[in-house]
Amino acid sequence: MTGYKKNLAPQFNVEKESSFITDFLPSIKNEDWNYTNIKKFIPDSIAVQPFNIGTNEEQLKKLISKKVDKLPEKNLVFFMDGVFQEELSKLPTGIKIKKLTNSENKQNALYLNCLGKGFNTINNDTYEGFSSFLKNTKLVELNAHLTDSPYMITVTDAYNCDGHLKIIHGFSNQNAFFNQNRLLCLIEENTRVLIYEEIINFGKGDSAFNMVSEFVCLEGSSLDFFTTQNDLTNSSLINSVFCVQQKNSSSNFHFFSKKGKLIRNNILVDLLDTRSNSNVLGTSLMESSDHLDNFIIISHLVEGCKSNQFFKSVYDENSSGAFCGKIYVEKGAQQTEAFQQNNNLMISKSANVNAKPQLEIFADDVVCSHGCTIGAIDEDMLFYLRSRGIKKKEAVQLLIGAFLNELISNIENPEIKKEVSELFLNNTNV
Amino acid sequence: MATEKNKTLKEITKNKYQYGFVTKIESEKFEPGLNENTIKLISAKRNEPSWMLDYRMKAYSALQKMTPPNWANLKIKPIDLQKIIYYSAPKKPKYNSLDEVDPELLKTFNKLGISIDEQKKIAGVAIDVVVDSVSVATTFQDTLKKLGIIFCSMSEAIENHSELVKKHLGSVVPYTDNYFSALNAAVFTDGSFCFIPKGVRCPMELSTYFRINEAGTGQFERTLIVAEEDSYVSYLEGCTAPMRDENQLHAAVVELVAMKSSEIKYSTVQNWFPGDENGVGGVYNFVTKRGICLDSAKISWTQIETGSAITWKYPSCVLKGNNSVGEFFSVAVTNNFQQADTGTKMIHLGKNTKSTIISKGVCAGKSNGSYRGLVKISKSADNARNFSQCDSLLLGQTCGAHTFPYIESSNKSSIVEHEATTSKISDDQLFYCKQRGIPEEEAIGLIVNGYCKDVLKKLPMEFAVEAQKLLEISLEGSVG
Amino acid sequence: MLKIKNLHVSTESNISILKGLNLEINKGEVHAIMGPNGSGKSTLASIVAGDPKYMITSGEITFNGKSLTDLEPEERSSMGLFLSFQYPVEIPGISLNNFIKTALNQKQKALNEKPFSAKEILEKIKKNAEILKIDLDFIKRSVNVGFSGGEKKRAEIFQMLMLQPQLSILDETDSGLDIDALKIVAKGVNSLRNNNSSFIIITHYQRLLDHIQPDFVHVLNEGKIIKSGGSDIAKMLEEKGYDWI
Repeated sequence: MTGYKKNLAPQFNVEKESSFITDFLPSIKNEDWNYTNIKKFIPDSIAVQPFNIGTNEEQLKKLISKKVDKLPEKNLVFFMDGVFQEELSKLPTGIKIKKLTNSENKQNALYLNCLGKGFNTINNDTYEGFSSFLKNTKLVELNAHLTDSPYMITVTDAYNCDGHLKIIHGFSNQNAFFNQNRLLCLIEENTRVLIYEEIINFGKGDSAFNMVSEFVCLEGSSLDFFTTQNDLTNSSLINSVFCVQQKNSSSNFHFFSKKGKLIRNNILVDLLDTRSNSNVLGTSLMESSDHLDNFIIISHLVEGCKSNQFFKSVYDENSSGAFCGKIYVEKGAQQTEAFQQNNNLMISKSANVNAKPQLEIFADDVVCSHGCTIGAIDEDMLFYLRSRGIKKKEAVQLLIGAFLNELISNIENPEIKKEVSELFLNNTNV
Repeated sequence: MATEKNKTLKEITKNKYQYGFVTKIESEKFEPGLNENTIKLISAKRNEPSWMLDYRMKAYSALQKMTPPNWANLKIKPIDLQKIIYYSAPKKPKYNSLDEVDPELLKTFNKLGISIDEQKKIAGVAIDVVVDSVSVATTFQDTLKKLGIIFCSMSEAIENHSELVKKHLGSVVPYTDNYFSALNAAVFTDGSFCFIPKGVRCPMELSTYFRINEAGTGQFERTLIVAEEDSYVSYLEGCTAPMRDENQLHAAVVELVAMKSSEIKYSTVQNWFPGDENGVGGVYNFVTKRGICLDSAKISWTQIETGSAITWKYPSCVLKGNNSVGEFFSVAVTNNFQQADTGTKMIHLGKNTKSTIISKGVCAGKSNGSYRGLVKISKSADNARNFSQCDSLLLGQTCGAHTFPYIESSNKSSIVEHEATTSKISDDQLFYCKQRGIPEEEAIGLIVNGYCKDVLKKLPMEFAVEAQKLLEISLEGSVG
Repeated sequence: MLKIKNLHVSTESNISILKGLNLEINKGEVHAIMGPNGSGKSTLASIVAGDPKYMITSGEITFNGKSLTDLEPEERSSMGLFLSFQYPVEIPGISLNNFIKTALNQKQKALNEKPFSAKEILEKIKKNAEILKIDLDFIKRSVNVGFSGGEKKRAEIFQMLMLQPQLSILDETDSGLDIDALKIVAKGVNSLRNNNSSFIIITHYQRLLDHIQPDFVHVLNEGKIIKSGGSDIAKMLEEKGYDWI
């Protein structure tokens, strides 16, 4: 029996120099990392991004304009190298940003672990936060060492915005650094927010990003979180997202992954109180020698919650990827409904796909299922299209588009839908 | 209704293991403990050729560098290899005719429902019986001999068919494969050997019954089946053990070699003592089973796992030849404090290889059942196909069901499909049965049997009835 | 228009299905093909459309004088061949609307014609949807996904009307249709029949032929046509079964 063990999250107790990075990189012998050899992507010699690069606003604007024509004119939170840029941001009413003080930052691995303690769970004694994952993935601990005190974004109930809140994590990245970024986000009771996150590398390629985001959804709140991972050519991203949910809250995550030497998403959701639900979705199209690894654990800790994992990936050229998704249902978490689906399309002969769809279930009154497929384009579909006069090459493109569009077509926000469609479906007419 | 069901489920846990008797037969056994000397003694006892002793010694030295695997979803008390007796045999091991057989032993077989005497008369199944460490009786040898089929104990095979054994032993499961395969290679004492010559369809089911009798003994049997080109064999294996409050170790190795266009069907009904309702005692069942398929060959594993305190077992197929086929059909029932971590590995190497996995887990009491499987499509496996279905059924709120499939594909022309569900017996189904006048116990029985049907129907007739009964017994109280 | 000479066809796994089939279809003709299950009716439809699951082992198919053997399915389609599938495949993620637009303009491109404007296509869609009593919302759904049996067949006929083929092969389009749907399908076929299009209608039953009068009826058995004649054959088959032959 694995799962939540009766001990707390590991304490971050060392203060070392950057040369110790390798100590924090998991090996492929580690079950959570057996399809991604992180040491292949992050060299021992990599330098760590220094705190607070002293750039003035003028230089900053110049840097940004090289890459981005125009920043959004409203609802923007802009970070550069992990530092909040008040001048460049356009904060809407109801969004508060605060830098946590050093004393507040003394806590262990995750803020959620202490915030989580206050939650009213039925099985209070079994809930141990994300500790078993953190023990295996010390990169989160590394992130805590190497980042300054994180920012906390609070979405208060005064926030009332139809569109989306854009968060840009920019990196000036002068020296192909190992960049760290850390964010904590609290969504207050009965508040809705749609966040669209983007990572932009204004600096050099060949770098690495270690991002940690924590979300706390209070009672009755609703979080939609979209993120595009497309500006990581020759770079590696380890993106760890932790989310805890109170009663009647809902979270919807959608990860759009396209360009990056390595994209590893760790997505962990704990449904702490009843009638909460979570959807974690992913759409990806991998090319060249890029590698994608989606690692998801959704934990049903109490009764009456719902979750859904749905990941669709296309692998072309020499790309490779893995999906490891787990549904965990704690003892007593009755009336759980949890689903998981992972569909992979291999377009090229040299692509490589691995999957590890897992169920760990300790309650009997549950409906849980997973489905996983790996295959090439369906020959019957291809023939059908061709019999209607569509050329083979176009038919293949159309079918890839249709495959990717399944999740994209359900995006409600028209701007995000348009951007994502352009990213994945460029010329295909689906 | 919920409380009523809980009550019924509680009754399940009160069920007694019906094969838990001890046979009072005199036996010869070694002192507990494992060292080079033990191995030399075992080898000497069996009059083995020197190559066999060399093989054992190599395995033993490999074992010393290994540690027991800990990746399975199992809680295991450490196993002390020095406390196990490695050789125990009924005093007179092999009989020339059934009249010579110790009457106590015959009684044992009758209790087990295997009457060797009967079996000799009615055509159908040829049986090799292994008690503790040695084979005590093999029936039908003469009939099989006429067809060129060799079916005998492993020790006889080492003596009489030395070249065949030497060629294939360890060719599918090398002793370096894992901790338990190394242990087995070092200390195995008997088991069955089976050889089907080219073009021969074995006309009857071949069957081995394994029984641990002596206290403190480990059972380390070794089975090797070689099917030559265009041959066919169906092989059955059954196991029981007495009730003891210690944990007995069973570490078997089974190797199947399916040559071009041959077919091996291997069925197991595993009913080692599962421990009592408090989780005391029971057999630790650590088994390595693997088969290799050459061109157009087929290996089909069917298993009904109801016994053992701990089951660690992954019957696998290496689909090396083009157009070869691997199948795995499994029902694993756990109850009380039983733990099972079982599944399969399908390694696709050849072109147009196909594999099917159907796994049904049923968990009751405080037990935990896990499916663990690997489907690997290598680069060379063009047009490979796999379909896997892994379902778990939970009876009660204190058990756990887990699914850990690993799917690895490096060939785009292959198609891999995996599905899994976890659920309980639906109240609607129960109500429906009751409305038709079927009592709850029988209704649960019907539903569980129906749930396992896809697997049960793969068993040979002789075993299907027995397996169905076993399912009922394992969940007795509610399953009728 | 379509000439099939001594055609032998096998599956990928070398099972021989068609064993010396001959058939000639001229402009404006409607041919019905009947025959027991497994006689090779659907194989005939598939091989003419170019399904890669089947291989021609000998014999020849020509369409308007051109051999089809080495042509891709899409080339056959742009030449004016249409297959209404017995089991239309579901394609999630592509709307019927966009699918048919893509198909139409690919055909235009293959014929070196200029693509249809969005407006022209919309008009065609409206016209044909009207004939088949199809709701326009239906066209926004993914191709065949979640369609009932009848809806799938209606969608096939809709595509046929949109593409205006010279020769349409309807593979058991009538099975699974209720009488109203059958009439609508027949109406669709008859509306195309007026402008000299030809049809091969594969069916088990007389009832579709009550609404679409065939010029010829052929009986296929064990990969060969064993009887040809007028529409009276179909009626006899309906009454007496295949044993009659």
